[in-house]
Amino acid sequence: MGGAEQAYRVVMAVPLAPAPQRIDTPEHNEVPEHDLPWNVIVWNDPITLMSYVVLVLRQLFGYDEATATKLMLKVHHEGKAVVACEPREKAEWYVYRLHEYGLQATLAPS
Amino acid sequence: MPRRSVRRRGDAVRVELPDEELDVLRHLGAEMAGLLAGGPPDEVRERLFPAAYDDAMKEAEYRRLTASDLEERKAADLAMLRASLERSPPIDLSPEEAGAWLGALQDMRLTLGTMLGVEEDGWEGETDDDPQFAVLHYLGFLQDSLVGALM
Repeated sequence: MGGAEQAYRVVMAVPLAPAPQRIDTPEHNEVPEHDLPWNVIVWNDPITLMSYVVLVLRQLFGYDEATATKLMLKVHHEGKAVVACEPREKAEWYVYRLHEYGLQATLAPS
Repeated sequence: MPRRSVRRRGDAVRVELPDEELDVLRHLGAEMAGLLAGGPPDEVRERLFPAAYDDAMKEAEYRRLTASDLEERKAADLAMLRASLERSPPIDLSPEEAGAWLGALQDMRLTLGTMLGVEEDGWEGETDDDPQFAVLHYLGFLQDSLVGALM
């Protein structure tokens, strides 16, 4: 997506540079942008109960209690944790569900 | 001593609380509904409807697509909690209602905690005897009991 357009913008931004030999086109084996992995991140929130975070991680991602507890403790001690890594659309859906549960969650390219 | 318990009963969760606590919950439910309908203060709004992206354009698009759904979801959770509080006790919550209670209690705690200025871990121990924090502690106890019954 936007490969040619991006190359065009780069060319326009440096009008005095020598003309490029060729404009790179995306390789056929490149992963399409919408399939690139995005991290689903849960942020520490001092108001939210630890037990509630564990329940949400179990219900939403199907983690067992040990995994959910480990992730919750990482959020608690480190301020945040990556709780899943998915293509962007799926990652955004998870973030939306986490917002429904009332957790502070974001997504970012992996 | 009035009974206070939240426990699993088949698929349902049975909530037994003293009358005055049920009154507190009804009162908080009404307050919360008013706050959501009237538009909460900015700092509460940011907590209930957090950003999904750092990138401003992606965030604007996320808001455009999800904001009204998220508002409706929070209002629906709260409405379900309030409706179940009108039934005669003990209140048996269906799995859907138990989920709505969890969400609505979470929103109430986020709202109260934000208004009380909670910003760092460790506030619980320091506010045990502070009457301003009593409701926040109580809602935490209730939500934790519900989590315990569901897990």
